[in-house]
Amino acid sequence: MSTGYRNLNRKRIFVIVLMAIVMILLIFADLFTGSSNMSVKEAIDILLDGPSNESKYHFILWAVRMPMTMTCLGVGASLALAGGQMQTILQNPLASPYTLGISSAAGFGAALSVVTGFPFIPISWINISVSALIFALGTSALIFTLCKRNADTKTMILIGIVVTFLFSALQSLMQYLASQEQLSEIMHWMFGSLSKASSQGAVVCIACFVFIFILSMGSTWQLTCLSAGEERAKSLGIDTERLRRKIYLCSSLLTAVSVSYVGSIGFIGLVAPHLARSYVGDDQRFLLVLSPIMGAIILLAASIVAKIMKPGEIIPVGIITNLVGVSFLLYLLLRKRL
Amino acid sequence: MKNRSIQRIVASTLAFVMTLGMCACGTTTSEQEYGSESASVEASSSNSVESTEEVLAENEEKSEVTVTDLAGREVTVSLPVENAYLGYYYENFLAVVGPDAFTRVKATSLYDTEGYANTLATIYKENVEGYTDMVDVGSTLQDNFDVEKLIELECDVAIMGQYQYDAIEDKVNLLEEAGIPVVIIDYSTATEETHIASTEILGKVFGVEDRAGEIIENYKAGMANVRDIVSKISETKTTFHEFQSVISTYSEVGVSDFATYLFGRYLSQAGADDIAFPIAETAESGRSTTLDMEYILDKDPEVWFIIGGETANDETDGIVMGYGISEEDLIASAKGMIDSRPGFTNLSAVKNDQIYCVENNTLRTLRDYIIIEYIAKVLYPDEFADLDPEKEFEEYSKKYLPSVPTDGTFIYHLEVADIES
Amino acid sequence: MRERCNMELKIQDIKVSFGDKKVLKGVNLELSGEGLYAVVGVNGTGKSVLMKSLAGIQAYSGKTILTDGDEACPKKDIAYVPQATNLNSSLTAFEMVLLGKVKQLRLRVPDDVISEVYEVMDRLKIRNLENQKFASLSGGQKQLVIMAQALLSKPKLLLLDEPTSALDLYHQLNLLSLAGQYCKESGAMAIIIMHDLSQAARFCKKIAVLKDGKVFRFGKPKEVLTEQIIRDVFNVDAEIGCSGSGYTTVLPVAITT
Repeated sequence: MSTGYRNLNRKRIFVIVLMAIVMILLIFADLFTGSSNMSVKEAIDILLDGPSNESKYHFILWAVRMPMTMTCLGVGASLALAGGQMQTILQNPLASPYTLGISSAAGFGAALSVVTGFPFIPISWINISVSALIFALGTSALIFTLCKRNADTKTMILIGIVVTFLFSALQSLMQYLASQEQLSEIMHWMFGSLSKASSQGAVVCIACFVFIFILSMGSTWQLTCLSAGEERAKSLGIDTERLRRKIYLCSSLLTAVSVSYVGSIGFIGLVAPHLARSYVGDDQRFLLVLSPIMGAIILLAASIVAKIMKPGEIIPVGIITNLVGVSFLLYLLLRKRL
Repeated sequence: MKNRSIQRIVASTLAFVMTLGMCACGTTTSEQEYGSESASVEASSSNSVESTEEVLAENEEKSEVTVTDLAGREVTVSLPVENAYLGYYYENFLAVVGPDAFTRVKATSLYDTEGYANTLATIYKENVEGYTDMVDVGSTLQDNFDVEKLIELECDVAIMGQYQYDAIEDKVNLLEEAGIPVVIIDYSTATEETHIASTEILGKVFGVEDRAGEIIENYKAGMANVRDIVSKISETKTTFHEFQSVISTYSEVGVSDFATYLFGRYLSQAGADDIAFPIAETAESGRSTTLDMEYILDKDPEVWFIIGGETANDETDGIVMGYGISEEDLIASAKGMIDSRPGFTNLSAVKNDQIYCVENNTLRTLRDYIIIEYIAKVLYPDEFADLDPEKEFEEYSKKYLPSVPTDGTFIYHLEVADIES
Repeated sequence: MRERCNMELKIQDIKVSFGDKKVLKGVNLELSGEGLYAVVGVNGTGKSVLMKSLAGIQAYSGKTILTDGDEACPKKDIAYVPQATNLNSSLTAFEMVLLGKVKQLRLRVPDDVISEVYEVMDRLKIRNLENQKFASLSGGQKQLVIMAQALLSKPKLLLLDEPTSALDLYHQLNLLSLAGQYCKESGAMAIIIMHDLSQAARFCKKIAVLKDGKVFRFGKPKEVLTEQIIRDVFNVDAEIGCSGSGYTTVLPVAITT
């Protein structure tokens, strides 16, 4: 009996393992890069020592760099997973985690918090994130309820467009009411930036990702069916509307947590699933695993580039991912032509 | 099915709120306080016993001082401090700590000063000892403050402004854990209390209590004098003031402060009734606003104050003042100002030749009591005839800023005749 | 091997409307026994809608009763195969076929399922396409892949929605004979929507002609394919003949004015 299919899958698993190794290497690279003059050997020793505060370099690696690296991991994986899921349930290869307006809602939440102080938590740096999270989650619950009766693709996209514009308008209103300093604070917040990374945030982000990942693994075959076409899926007995709603919840939770945590980092949710798809095809069992890995790789790479490019200056990582994303899209466009 | 999904939403939201709550309440991580140097053994000496501390400092090599900073935090700093981080308020620091102040500073955020007062920064670079040896760790204003670099430099203490604390509060905790105590001072709110408290802190942390005390007494005396005379004034004059550093053409109006902030506060302390003050109740943001030209013409102020500064290039309008600027330069920059504002030739302030210019960087310093004296004097020349603000300016500079050259224009009476085209 | 079925399908008074527009106005049909049945009619009479109703994708009012011997057949015994030439997917042909058993797949695909897939692909002679992306296949190949997907679940009722409309002659005949073969071996029933009346006559044992949302005529090709009926339903003048092997042939000549 020929095992052509098994061979194919073996190759795919091999690619996944390879990419996972690349990701781990990048994690180390990210930990070893920074503005202080820690040498690679020193850094390795410090890593082996475990979390401690023996010297300033210990502190820098464990308390300053580690949370940022872990955040790259968590946010990159979350956005990639959310993006892939969005592309599947909306059956649109240009969909991203922000298509349904979660990012705009979070941005409005942040702007509102900066201008009015909502929700008045005494710790100021968490305050804005919590406000953003409340609005992002609230919006996704709202969209979910609106889609209860009719969860087909067109309806969802239309609702997403409405939501995006609504919150963009509200955010502009906030910006208009804001003073000079508040304005610059709002703008800075919306820029995806790793400077907001903290160890608690990284833990929350990664925990959320793992939770949703496990939840989604149960639906891999249904998603694969959906990716073959709406009618096909229905005729094979899949309840597409229910699937769409469930996956939408998962993906919007991931997006809400990521955006509230570090602002909106663009293009990872769009690009990572495409890259993963080019390696392992549309089988969601593999895609679900490789997309987050690719997302983490992209964000880690962007973080390393940001640190190296202008030593001493931290460029917001969101700018780099946008540049990368635009080049990638250009490349895709040109390739189609040829 | 419906119930399950709703339950799942509720469960996940609850889990999240709880996690966030725990993170918010709990203190940070398993990292312990590091190093024995900054163990928070509170010094037995309290704030007021300064002489005992001096004796201690002489007898022991390592001693400590505990201060309550302007953000209400109690911070313990090991003395002596030789490698500080200083974010802003260069002039005050230089005045309080002495000509060698910057040799005790290892790191700073250059943009906070150089980005706004380039000429001043250049003068300091050329004349102030130790300035060029400072390492730039980035600025909170540009969102590139590099905590890693700061930790690597192992500073004894980080002196930050309130605006920096607001921007990076979570990183401050990180710095404290790394063994760098963070002390917040504030010269921007510019009340007598905050100026004095900040100066006292600098005195204690850098071991220059005598000098600090002197400056404080000087400041108090000046302010008391103004307060005294102002209280006897029956008819207040109306004023209009604007920060011209934010405009690009004269047809725009600059920013005006309310009575609770900076120049607005100076004006109210000098007994002026600024036309921006009544708007404070209905305004959205608490500190300042941009007045409407119609409003200004309607209120018809008697005196007009312009806060000028260093304009970035020749393209923008705005009064130019400061180090190295001559009176001719100032007048040249003011050309066309009145004509660009329709109706302003009829303002009382213009008709009575009551336009006065003050330099931006002298605000927020310990010299600002002199600015208040200047305001008071031009408003009520009879009552304040004894004061000579220009001379006091020079004396202060000679005494407390000997390394910095003084030529430049900082306070000036702009005569309408000179700028009419 | 599965036992041969004894299929019977009763369609009773099916009505479907989209808003105000009534598409199916009461369709009644009784099919019994294995083999191919054709559904023909002009565009818009609701052939596809009828098929989708049978497949369970379209809501309808009325009753359909599908029985194998004495037992009623569950939904999983029905397979619906739409026109595949416009489908696009990055899945490989193998994976597309594999989806036919999606309800039974777990995280790891069991060996016996894989061999079943290969069996079906061998039968349809598309084994060599297994690792090619579905989107890169030709129209005929795509249709065969979707057929394989449907056959994987060993359906008792096969619904083919215009499977030959976009295929070349070779693939048309190939597909129809495969369908015929499957039904003969397993005793299943297949309903095929077609436009080519001669082909319908060649392959199907009975033809249902739909007109205005109802069944106009139902019966053997010889009975149903008459000049008059064709004129009434299709507005076309045709010459009816008989081929050498005894199949009814229809040659459309001109449209009626």
